[in-house]
Amino acid sequence: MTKTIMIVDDSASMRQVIGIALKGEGYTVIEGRDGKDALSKLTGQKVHLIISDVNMPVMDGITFLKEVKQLPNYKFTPILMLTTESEESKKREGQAAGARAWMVKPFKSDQLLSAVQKLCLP
Amino acid sequence: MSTAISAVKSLDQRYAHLAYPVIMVATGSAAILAAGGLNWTSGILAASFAATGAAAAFRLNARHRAFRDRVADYLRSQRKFSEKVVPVWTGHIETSREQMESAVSELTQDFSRIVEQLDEAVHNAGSATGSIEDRENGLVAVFDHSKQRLGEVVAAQRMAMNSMTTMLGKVQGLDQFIVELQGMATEVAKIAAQSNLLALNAAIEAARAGEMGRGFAVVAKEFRMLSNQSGETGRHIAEKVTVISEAILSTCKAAEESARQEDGAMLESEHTISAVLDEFRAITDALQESSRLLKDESVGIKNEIGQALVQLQFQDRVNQILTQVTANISRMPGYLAQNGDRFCEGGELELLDPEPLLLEMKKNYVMSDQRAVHRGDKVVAKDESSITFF
Repeated sequence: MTKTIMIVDDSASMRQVIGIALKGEGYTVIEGRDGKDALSKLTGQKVHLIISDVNMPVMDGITFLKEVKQLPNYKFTPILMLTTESEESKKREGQAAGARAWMVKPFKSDQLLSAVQKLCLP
Repeated sequence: MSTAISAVKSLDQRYAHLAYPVIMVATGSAAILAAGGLNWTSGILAASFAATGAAAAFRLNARHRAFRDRVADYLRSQRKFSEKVVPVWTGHIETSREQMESAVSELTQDFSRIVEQLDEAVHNAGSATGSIEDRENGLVAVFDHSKQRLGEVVAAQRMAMNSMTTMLGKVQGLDQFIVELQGMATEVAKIAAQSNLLALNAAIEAARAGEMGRGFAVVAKEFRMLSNQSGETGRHIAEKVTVISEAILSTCKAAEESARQEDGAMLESEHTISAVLDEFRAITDALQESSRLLKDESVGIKNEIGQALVQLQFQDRVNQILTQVTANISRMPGYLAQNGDRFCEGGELELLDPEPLLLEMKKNYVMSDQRAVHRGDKVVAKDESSITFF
């Protein structure tokens, strides 16, 4: 079965870059331009993995992460934070909020795909 | 209460510059009165001194106010300057940022479309290779099948040729019978000659016997005629055998020539078929190779585009930095306005302190590069992304 991955990033080009890498490996992709937009798109969907930026307008990635963990259907959905932020304090904040991995941009496709495969394991 | 204290402080600061002249005038007037005693002369001198001091203080105050007004005007102009210039600067930065984001986004979309088209090309190349290499219906399978069938046709022709050669051998074997027939015809002619000689002797003997041998002479005559006929028949047989022999030889010669031509034609056919099959094999091999090459090249280009797309992530970093630079520049008019307000309210001209703004900027950094620049360190480009699993 094709796995569905949600990409949350305020940069359209970043969403496309991530999307190309994932679609090339056969994943289905849903996009959200910020935390709030992504939350509205999660309803009625079966998402296997969420890849989210941290610094976004309207709703930032950490707040989005906390909101997602409140949703019964997504309580155990793995979340990968993909961000330019490399501060340890921010990483710890993400970990405390329930993130499974923290990846610092810029990323290479094979690194991202390797992490996605690891996180998507049943 | 605090407002009153503030007002008093403000008043103090506003007229502080008059304190020294007032004290000096008061002290001088008091000194004149003390030295001269309380009389008209001392009183007039003290009053004149006080009036002169008051006039000087008034002029000093007027100059001081004029100076304050010029400073306030300067601060207001500084504020207006920043209020007018900063939006233009931030506007330019924001426009550049938006244009870059839009261009990179379009570039990414173009690359995305190219990747999709390459995916399709790779898929089609894979299908083409599959249709060539398919064991059942592929071009290679058709080629092998055709080769086998053509081989069967050539084998059938070769078999027919062999049958004809066998038949020709049998026809050539008839030569032996012709020799036998010619021998038999010669034997018949010999028998006929001997019979004729015998009949001749019989006729001589019959003539010698006279009347008694007349009957025998008739028999001898008939026998002689019969032997002559036998000899004639033998000659006819020999002639016919010669004709048949020549016909057989001629037929065999024609059949041999035909067989030789057939053999040559068949060899030529085999060579032609082999050459056509070789050409066909070369075409299928070339098709396979070009299909494989197309697939490999497409995969290679796709990977390179993937790498190029990864490089486009710089836009995200630059975008974040420019957004923060814009926000920080936008704070400048506020800072300058606060400074001017404080001077107007309290008369105190404060120096601009960069630390609060730098601290505020530091709080909002999102990248290690920004923090490095803030510290004055050199930014080191990283090839690898880092990932932490929790």
